[in-house]
Amino acid sequence: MITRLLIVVSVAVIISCQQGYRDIPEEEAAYNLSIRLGFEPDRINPILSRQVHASQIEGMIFLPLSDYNPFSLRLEPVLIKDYPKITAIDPADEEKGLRYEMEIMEEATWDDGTPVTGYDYLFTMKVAQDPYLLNTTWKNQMAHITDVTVDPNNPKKITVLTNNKYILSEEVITNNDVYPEHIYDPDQLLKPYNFQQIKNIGSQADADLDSTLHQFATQFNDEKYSREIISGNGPYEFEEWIPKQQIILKRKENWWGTKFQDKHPSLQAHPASITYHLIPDAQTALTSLKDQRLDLVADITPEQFQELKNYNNQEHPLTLEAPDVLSYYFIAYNNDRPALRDKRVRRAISMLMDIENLIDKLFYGLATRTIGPLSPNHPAYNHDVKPVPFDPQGALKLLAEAGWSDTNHDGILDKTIEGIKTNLSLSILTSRSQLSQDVAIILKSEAEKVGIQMSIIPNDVPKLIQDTENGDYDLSCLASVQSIAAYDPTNFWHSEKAGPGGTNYFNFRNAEVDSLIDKIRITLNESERNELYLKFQQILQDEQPALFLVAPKTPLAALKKLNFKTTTLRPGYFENTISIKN
Amino acid sequence: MWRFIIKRVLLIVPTIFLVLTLIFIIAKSLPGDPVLAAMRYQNNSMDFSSDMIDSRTYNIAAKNLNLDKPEFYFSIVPSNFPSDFYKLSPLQKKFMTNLFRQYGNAELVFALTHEIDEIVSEDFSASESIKSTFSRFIPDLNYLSSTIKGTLNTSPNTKLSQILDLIQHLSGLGKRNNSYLPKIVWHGRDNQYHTWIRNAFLLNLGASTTDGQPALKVIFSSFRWTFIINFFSIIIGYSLAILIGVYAGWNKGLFDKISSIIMYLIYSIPVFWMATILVVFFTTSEYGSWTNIFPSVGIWNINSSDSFVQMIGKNFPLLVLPVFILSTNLLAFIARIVRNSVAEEKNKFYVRHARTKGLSEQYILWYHVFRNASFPLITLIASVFPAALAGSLVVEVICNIPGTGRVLYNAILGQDWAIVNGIVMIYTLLTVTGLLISDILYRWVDPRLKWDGA
Repeated sequence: MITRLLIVVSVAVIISCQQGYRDIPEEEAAYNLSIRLGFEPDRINPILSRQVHASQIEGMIFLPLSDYNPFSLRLEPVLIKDYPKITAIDPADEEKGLRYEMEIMEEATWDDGTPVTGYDYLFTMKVAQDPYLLNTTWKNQMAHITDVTVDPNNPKKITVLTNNKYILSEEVITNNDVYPEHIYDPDQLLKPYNFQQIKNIGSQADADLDSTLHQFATQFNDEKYSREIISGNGPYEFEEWIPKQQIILKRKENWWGTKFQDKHPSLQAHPASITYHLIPDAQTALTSLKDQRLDLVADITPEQFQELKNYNNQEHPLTLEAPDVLSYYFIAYNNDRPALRDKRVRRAISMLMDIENLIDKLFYGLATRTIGPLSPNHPAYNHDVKPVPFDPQGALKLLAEAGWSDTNHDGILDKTIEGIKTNLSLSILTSRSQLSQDVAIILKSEAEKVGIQMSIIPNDVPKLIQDTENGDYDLSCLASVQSIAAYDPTNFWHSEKAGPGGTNYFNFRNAEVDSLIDKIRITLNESERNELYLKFQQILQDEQPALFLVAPKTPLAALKKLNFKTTTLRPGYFENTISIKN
Repeated sequence: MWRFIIKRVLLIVPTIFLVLTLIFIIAKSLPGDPVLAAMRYQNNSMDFSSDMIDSRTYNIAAKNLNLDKPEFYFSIVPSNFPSDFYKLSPLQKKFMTNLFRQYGNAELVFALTHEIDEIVSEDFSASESIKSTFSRFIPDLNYLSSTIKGTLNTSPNTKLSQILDLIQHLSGLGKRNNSYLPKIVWHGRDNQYHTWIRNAFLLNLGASTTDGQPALKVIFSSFRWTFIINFFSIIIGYSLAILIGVYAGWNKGLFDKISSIIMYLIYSIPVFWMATILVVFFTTSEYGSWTNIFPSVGIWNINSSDSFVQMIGKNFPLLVLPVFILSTNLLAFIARIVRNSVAEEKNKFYVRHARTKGLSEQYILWYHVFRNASFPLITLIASVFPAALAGSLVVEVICNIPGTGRVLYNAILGQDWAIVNGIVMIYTLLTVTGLLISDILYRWVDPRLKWDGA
């Protein structure tokens, strides 16, 4: 009886599965692109969202005045007719502030067909200043913007004033998505107030304005404006969001940007719809790709990428790509530690890391060695700087020069510092990720061979951040974002930011670097600024305040029938530009 | 019987209360400031070079997260500290306690903290450079006074001069004996713990710190998928395990040997490994068309206008693989227990006695032997619900089912404690419910146990 029952159950299960498999929809003439998302976006609301996956989708729905071209990697006009006209407010002193004048394109419209005007931009800038918003990142970035006005005779014309000359001003002013005022503030709560009033709310006691801002923020923070009412000026409109499962965008029927596809890739709209499927596990996503449920899967591991190279299904062939991404791994040295104050010691430790081997073994070759915080694709990346070689014998020699030797023959180098015999014993903080710990293990094994005692302390990320920020560390294994455009090194590398609570948690202090940074911050001319970046990178390499490891690539796999170009910008592709091969 | 059940149900309340208290203590003991963590980008990058965060912005963020209140009904601080010390940001607290240790005089130290904070948060005439320095609250008076003097040399500022006077006055007092006598500050019921317990009992778990959605909504919309796959896997797993276990234990012989080997084999395979192997090898035709047995994992046929029952209907074939994995794991474990239990009961005196009375083998097996052999099964019921949910965590991630397990996995990665706490509460409820059910079943199956608890 049992055997019969088992047979019946098994047959029923297999039949049921086979029926499910046959239910794959046929390919349609208008292509519907299916993409995997590893994490669900927190919101679709450019000011409030905090996750990179959210900005990927927001980029399809909202457009900024100008945006980075994913292929040329330059900030180019999108909504505005031309690059901003920049003039000094006081012609006698540029550093007192600049005036940015821009004009929005006549054709630009919102989802409902109403024109995009300067008042929408002004509204966006006012919203960003509201202190009651759940995310005030935009407000912090706009600290140097003093006023935003719209020409009453030409509502497409905008003027923005700043109180200084700063390399990131153009990006901050033009590279933020613009919101439609009539959708996001239907009661016109912010309309009666100008930009300055809202920006300076902290310094003035205006109870009415404060209450209005509170009321507006309550409305704007509500999940309705992040999950249901999502309306922009981009090529795609929001269709639906099924939580924890998928988000669907649809190409606009009368997309105003059709005529301007050559102006900027953000204005292109090839797929008829884009569906983002939430699939946290990369392996699961890859099986769905092989089964043609998905068209493109990014964020796969280098190991999975290597395995895919052996995939040889002629029926459903795949394209494999591994573009560079704007991030890098590094080991921060706490330059305030007595042993690490000497740059020879820092350099010696850097010489103990076999980075080529690391790229080979941990990244399966999918990473590029880097020498600093600028991306190897940055026009000012200093290719003349020679990376520190892997040279344990040279390291030992440098340590000896710095006064470190094993005087008591216990296998650990020592030195008398301020009258106290000190062992060269260091700890290295890591996150709990396998990669981070593997990097630390490689360094530790080489360090111990030359007599440096090294202990690895894995921590949860909040604890790792807390200890590093507080300067409670010797070495810390970290990752950060690399810059492709104007890069302001102040936070990480200026002496002013060193010390407890400072963002320069390396505690790196160098007068020459400080002076270079001060110049970089105000040099708007790109080629002049690039010269300064070259010097800056050279000094970092000489001083070794950190051990810069690698800039990883982001492996991705897609169906062969897709026609697409990869980009250094996250997530490595630009979905609205993807089409089907003829 | 009802008295017993009501008594046991009432005991659930203090159990949940203790679990909630424990969750609160653990959440408060975690490293890092939850307000700062929520204010930062949550993109798993360790780029934390955030710009300065003034106290006004910090306090608004804390209020949004309901973290602006004192943590408990009372707090203990040095006797000369202000009663609203809890309102300060972690950086300000550190600044104040450090200076207090160095110079004593809590009143002056507090005044200095307040003045510096005003410059950072509200003084728009102050330069970005001085604001940036002040926002770090470095507890070094020499450093602060030299920075202020440097600024005053170039641009005079009344407020900064006042702060400089305060610093000079404080350092001029020299080190004096600190009063470490503690004082207890009573905060009343308007505290985080009280709010947490009250809201939890009212099923108001707060909003997810990741996406701002009500935690309860997120948990329940995912729980239905977890419930469905676990419901089917428990029913299938238990039914088949009982049939196989009873048959193997009663008849022994070749079936027992073969089923034992297979069950041991399945039981020794970790769920994540089995799930991965099945997904990789048996959902595509990559390894031959015959291997394409199961459809792609995940829930694909969805439409927001469909009811949940319609979604289940459309996606039923897609649920077969996760149910298969979960029930197979359950089956292997339970079948072994039933088999051993039946084999043990089979040789007991009462079985021989029943045979001599002329009862049929089927009647003896199911009415006498199985009843006595089912005690281990009842014990398992208490743990089967939380165990099934724990197992489904792995299966949901690998099979891409949008259930509670996957939500918990992402919430832990994103440190979304509102969600984590809510799911832990549900697990607690299920565990105590499981215990209650097993207690009732014990008494139902074994008349020797009394309903008064004896």
